Amino acid sequence: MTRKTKLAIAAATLGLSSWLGYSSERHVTEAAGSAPRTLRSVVRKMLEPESRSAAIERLNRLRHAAGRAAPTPREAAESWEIIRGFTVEDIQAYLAELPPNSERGANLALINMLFHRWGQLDPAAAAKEAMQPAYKENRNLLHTVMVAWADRDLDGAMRWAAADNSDEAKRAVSNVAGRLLVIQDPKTALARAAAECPAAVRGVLSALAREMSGTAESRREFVELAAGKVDPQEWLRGLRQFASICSERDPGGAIGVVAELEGMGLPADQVAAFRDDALHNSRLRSPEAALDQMLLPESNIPPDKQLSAYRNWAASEPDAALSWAQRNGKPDFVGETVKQRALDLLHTGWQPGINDEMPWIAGFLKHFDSWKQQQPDAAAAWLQTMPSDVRGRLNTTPTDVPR
Amino acid sequence: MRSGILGLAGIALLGFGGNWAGHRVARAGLFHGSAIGTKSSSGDAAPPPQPSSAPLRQDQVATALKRLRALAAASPNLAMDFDAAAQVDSLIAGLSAAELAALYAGIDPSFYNYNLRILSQKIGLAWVAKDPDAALAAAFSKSTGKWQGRYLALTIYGQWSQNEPAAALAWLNAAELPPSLAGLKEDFRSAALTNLAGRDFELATAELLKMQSRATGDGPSAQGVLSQWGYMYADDPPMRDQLIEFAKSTGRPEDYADLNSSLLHSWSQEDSLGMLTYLQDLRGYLESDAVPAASRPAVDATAVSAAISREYTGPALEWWMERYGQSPDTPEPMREAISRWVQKYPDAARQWFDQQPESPQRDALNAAAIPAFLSQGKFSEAAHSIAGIRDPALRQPAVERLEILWKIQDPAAAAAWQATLPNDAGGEK
Repeated sequence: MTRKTKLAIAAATLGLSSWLGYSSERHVTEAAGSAPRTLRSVVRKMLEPESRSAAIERLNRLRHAAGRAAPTPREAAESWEIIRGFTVEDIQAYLAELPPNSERGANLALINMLFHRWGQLDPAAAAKEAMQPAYKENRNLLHTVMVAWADRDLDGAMRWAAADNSDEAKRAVSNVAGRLLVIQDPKTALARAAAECPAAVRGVLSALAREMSGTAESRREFVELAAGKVDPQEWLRGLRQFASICSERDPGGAIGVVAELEGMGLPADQVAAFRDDALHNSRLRSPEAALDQMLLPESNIPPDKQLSAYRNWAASEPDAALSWAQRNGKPDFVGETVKQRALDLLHTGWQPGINDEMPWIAGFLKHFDSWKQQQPDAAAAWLQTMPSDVRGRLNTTPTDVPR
Repeated sequence: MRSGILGLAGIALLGFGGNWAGHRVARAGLFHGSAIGTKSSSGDAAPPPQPSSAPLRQDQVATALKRLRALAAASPNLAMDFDAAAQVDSLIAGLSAAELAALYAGIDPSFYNYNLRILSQKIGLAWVAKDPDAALAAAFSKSTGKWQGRYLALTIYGQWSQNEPAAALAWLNAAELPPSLAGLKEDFRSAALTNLAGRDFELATAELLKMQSRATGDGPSAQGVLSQWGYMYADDPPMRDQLIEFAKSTGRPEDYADLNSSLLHSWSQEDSLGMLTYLQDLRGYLESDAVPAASRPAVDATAVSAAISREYTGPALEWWMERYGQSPDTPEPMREAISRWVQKYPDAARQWFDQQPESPQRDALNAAAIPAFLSQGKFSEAAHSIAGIRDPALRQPAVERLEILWKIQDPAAAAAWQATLPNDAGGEK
């Protein structure tokens, strides 16, 4: 072989291998991404039926159009129109097309649909695959299989979860089976779950809590159906969720349910747990109504808890909190909030001028301005305890304090 | 024989090396074509939708409402029950705006009933495409909590803008928004643009130019959207290049500063070739006259901050000190970056400060580091750093801050430190 021939072979090898590497990388990374090409994938594509190739091409067009973004609602609906006609072999072929461990929205949406369809056709195999290392990090997959399975064969899904007994299976079956058991018959749902699939007990309690929080009568029914019928820890958990849902329905009225529960003879610790959670959720949903209730003498909420609730509200909605404090004559709440928050800010390394527009810091600045207007002597005395850069910042133009 | 084996080994090596290089070159984005989906296919003039005057068929509404409620009640989870979701879509597909309005009013989108929430969103999406003013105002007012109405309105507008970006944006630009929605205009635009860049670059960037700069007010800003695009497309070379070119061309230095920051934060560790090429271009850009002099410190500080967070700390700080060593001012991104660096690597940071020659900028950076040392409970290190600050105006607040926090933690140690301070170095106020 001549030297020229050797050089030509070397150049051709280098060029071809570089091009293959370049092309392969672009195939894997462009748009929504694709699985790397392998001999197996090439052979599989050559042998697949034309109908499958066409469906795969349509799905690829949809997900590559989305690229790094999530599919549009229209694209998602169109994708399901294709996938709902898939066989198990079609599903497996398309899963092999998708890039492994992809977090891009378009791929995740399609994988969800593929597993759901698989759950309609062969749920046990789909569930097994969803729990394999390639997919198990995505908890939605086992859940979507369960939705498909339980919708068509609730008993089969519960039997599988009870036999599998893994944490993943319990998590996936709980809410789905719980909801369907309640839909079938709320009166027998808990007993059926306890007997056939204990992991669904929690889901049944959750579904009952959602369905029965609307009226005094339905709330009584909830307590009669569930109190003392399940493990005490599960019941307490269900009761807390019931409290959250009641306060979400009616943030100002949830605390009134406490009297109903007392009237039903629930133990004091359970009533207290309900009250704490109802108040906590009311504070999140409607902090003003919650604080109004906390100030009522009959609520028996100690001042430090009132102040703590105020401070939490002031962190997210300083203007509303300040207006409330002024209306209710609570400059001490404002002052104490300033003192506590200033120390928190110093501890977390706040420097005046950095991120002052963030709600947490802007709220602190507004609270100081308000305090200075309401109790100038106390505010001025406290200010002297702060570092000079903080003093300088707080002495600048007042922020827009609500009056 | 031997030379033949060597020759084959050489060919194999060349093949392996070429393939490896091909992968790296592709990942770095060299020789790529233009990004897909960059032409405005849907951005042609699309008149904002007008509500039709189709009559309200009460019986249709009643039937649809009954069937929709039944579907929601029977489904284990409407977000994952794709057949049921398709049936919902099919049930509402042929309804008029007035009928969808009646349906929307009939469904309570409570957060405690997930299926009803999904159902409400689907009806809202169908309605907003036919009568955006009414649908969005209804969504906004349909609220049991402070943020729920805003969330519902943004959700259905965001979904509509994904399906029909040109129509949704044309409405946004033309509409005199109902009073309840007026404060949400830029939130709507931001929601529409997040997913649009990869699909219709021209429309997305034209709309982005209508957004305010973060320097001019609170709320969604052009830089916020650009940053999101930076995170999404840092590993997509054609889009990344288009974004960089666009951001440099807007006339707002902060556009490229923020895009650059998000690109550097999310750049893949596996693409070192692309990263190094980019950093060289970045340095050339920063050292050119492309950025107006007044904006240069903030733009430079944003770039250095991102480089520090990607652990190119030494070269980035060296470059910064070369340019700003004699300046007493430290822009906010730089103070934040120093603070984060000190919190992550306090020993390395202290060593770097110790090795720096005295300069106004060293003092300013040192002062920015003190709160971070204190937030880690490193009082002795903070005291050591304070001793290195020459400017009394910078040293004083640092001394006071240390005094306050150290006294809370360990009064005796704080008193011992105070006793070592010279009389003019602060201490008791």
